[in-house]
Amino acid sequence: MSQHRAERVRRGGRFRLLIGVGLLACVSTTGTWAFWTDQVTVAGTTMTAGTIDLRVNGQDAVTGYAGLTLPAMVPGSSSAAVLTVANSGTSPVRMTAASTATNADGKNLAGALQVKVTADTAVTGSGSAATCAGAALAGSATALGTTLVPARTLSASESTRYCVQVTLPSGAASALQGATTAVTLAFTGTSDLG
Amino acid sequence: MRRLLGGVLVAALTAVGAPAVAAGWTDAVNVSGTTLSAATVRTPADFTCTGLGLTGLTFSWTPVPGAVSYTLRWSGGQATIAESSYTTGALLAAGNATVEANFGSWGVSAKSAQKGYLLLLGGVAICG
Repeated sequence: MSQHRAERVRRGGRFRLLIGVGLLACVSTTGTWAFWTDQVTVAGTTMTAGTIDLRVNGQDAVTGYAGLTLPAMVPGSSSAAVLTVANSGTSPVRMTAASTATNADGKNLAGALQVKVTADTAVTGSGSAATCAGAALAGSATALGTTLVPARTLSASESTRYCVQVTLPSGAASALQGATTAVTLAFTGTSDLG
Repeated sequence: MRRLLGGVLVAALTAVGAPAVAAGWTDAVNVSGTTLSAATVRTPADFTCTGLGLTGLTFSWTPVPGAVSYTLRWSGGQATIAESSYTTGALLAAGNATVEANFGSWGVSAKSAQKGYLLLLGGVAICG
């Protein structure tokens, strides 16, 4: 009897061992899953940053510009010059322009000078009688130290011309005799077209 | 203290959460070198006359910057001209000449130094 019981116990232990090994085998063995895949590549797209390159009279900086210089103005004298502003870049630019003028001698000649900006492509007259004959651009400057022309957009490779006239009015005060001012015209282009 | 900490916290969160400000590209071109000057009313210098003529003399002077014209006066006549020289017609008598520069509404310069001229026999004039 005890022998028969011992045999049963031994068989039961083997069975449990077999089950345990089987479970371990199931847990430790990972399944292999395979999906079908398909891939499409879109190639050939090139992203290139644009350029903005504002130029005046073909240059990135115009120094020593004598086109508007007038050395001995008297009441009624005027000077004029045509400037070509171009967008030499590949992206459109929003262009603004402003003028500044010095007052080193304190006589404020700059404050007395009158400004006129037109779309003329050539100056009328010469010397101290040079003028821009056309009508002033809407919103353009009438004095120095202000916005020269309203902002506008220049497309890539587009250019425009401005005729700038500076006049000492006929009623200019005698106290202005001998006064001098240095004028700078600043053109700025931005990629922000808003 | 609690309010202070709360304020600092809010400020920090605001700074962290603030959207980036987009800045466009810019390109600037300055046009410099233009000088505008007003004239000074000055008397013409180097007033002289040249030539020996039966019909007149040529007066000349150094141009004055900004002058819009000049008025030449001689005994018995005058002329207003834009140039800086002038030849008179026949002179009837000996005399003196001066020139002054005109500056529009800024007036007229002082007269130049006088220049005398003589009439010789036969109507020939010569500068003195």
